[in-house]
Amino acid sequence: MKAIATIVLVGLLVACASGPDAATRRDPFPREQASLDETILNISSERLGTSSDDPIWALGLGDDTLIAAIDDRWSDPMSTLLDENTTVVDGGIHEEISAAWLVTGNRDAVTARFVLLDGSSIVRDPIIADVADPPIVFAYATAATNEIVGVELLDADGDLVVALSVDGDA
Amino acid sequence: MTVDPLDGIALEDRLRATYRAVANGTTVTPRALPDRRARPSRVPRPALALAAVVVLVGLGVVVGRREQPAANRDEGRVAVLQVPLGWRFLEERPYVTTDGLGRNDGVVIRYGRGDATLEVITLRRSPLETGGLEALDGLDEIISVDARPAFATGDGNLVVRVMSDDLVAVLRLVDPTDQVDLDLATMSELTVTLSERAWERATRRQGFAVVREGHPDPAQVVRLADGLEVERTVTGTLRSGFIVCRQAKVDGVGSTPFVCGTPPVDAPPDVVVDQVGDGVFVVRVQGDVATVEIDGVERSLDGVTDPDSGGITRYSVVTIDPLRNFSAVGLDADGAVVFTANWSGATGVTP
Repeated sequence: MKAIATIVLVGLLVACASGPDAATRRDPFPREQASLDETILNISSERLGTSSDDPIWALGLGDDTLIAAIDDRWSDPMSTLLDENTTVVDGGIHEEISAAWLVTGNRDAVTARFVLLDGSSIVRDPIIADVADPPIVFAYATAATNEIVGVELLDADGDLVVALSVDGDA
Repeated sequence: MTVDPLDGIALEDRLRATYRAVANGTTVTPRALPDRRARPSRVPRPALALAAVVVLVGLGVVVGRREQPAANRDEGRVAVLQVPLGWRFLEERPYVTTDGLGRNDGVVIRYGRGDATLEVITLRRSPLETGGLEALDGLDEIISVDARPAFATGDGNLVVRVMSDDLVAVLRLVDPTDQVDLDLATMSELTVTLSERAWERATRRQGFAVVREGHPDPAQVVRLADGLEVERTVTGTLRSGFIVCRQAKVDGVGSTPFVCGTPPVDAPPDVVVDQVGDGVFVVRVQGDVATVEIDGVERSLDGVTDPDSGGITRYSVVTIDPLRNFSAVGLDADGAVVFTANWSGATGVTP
């Protein structure tokens, strides 16, 4: 065991002496290469605060794509072409904001319950886009000090349709 | 924090301008490889050496602890299950005497649907032995796997499953409206256990934390003959429930997809053929199948017992030209054919 520990120590010393000076940190809102349609429709926008300097949180809907934005940072595009058994969620922490958004093809889902780290929750109705056959979209953003940790989709009786994790480190 | 919706023209213009900017700035060229050139560290090297020594000491502590013999592998394990459709996670908390199963130690997980609640209770001692169930009007034994029986009340709303010497899983349905139809006996067969460390992870983030237990634990990987190994993994969250998945590998090459679900004790006869490599197949057998013949030749089978359900799945490895057709025939103890799986060399699947 001492031999293993010695090898580990030597490895650590070598790694520390020659490796990069900082670990790579994944950004939940990376500037991804994406194909975006200029006809994308702004379906939701709000300012997270009361002053003109506070961040703007927005969702944009294209023909088959949903993207989220906080100020000038963008999420990975999310497909809105889903079958009835599929729900896709994304989100995470960007600076001082925790956001989560999801698209579902399940017509039973009438509300989304966003659960925060402290156990509290907020129930949101779907966001309706001004198009003929909108995908079912739910979204919520709040302060990262009490981040969104998951979403529960509920049917009309309040029964669970699906529970999804929102990983702040993803 | 107050959140004020904005609907002004300025915001609309700003968003559209930003969308347009992103679209215009988007390229579809392949992403460049990351720069892997080493850069000089800005941290003083003596500090790095000191940090490394601290890490070494920490490793020594960890190694020292790992070398301590475990008092009991099941100590601290908690029973979890695949949550039935429509049920919402309500809470997890320590067991208390007012939960009604006598003086005991354990954990209670509660799910709800309408006015009904479903409780998954882990107890360290059997309530049948501590007198915690003495007020009930008798219990019927419904399953008996080795020394791990399960008992149920006559109405089926309470099932006690002895899963190990110090872990008893109790499923209890409280349904004031008497409108919920849950098969607790079957659910008790699908109950799996998490280690204490995995349980701690599972309870984080209000039960949304994703747990995948099994791969780092050598005890979860069963090595059989002919380079075959079977890895068992428990995956899920406290909110959505947990499921067992298995993957068979031959010489490190795995079958796909994972086989998920707990093999029941009384599984029906089944023979499945999975190709894991070039001409290498894993034959998976469950239920009342005593032997398997491939092209008329009997193959030896190695059994893997699920640590939670007690169900047995047996495996064999066979090398055959994948382009030809062949059959894997399952025979019972009397030599009667109980299942046949056919491999189509043309399509590469078992119909």
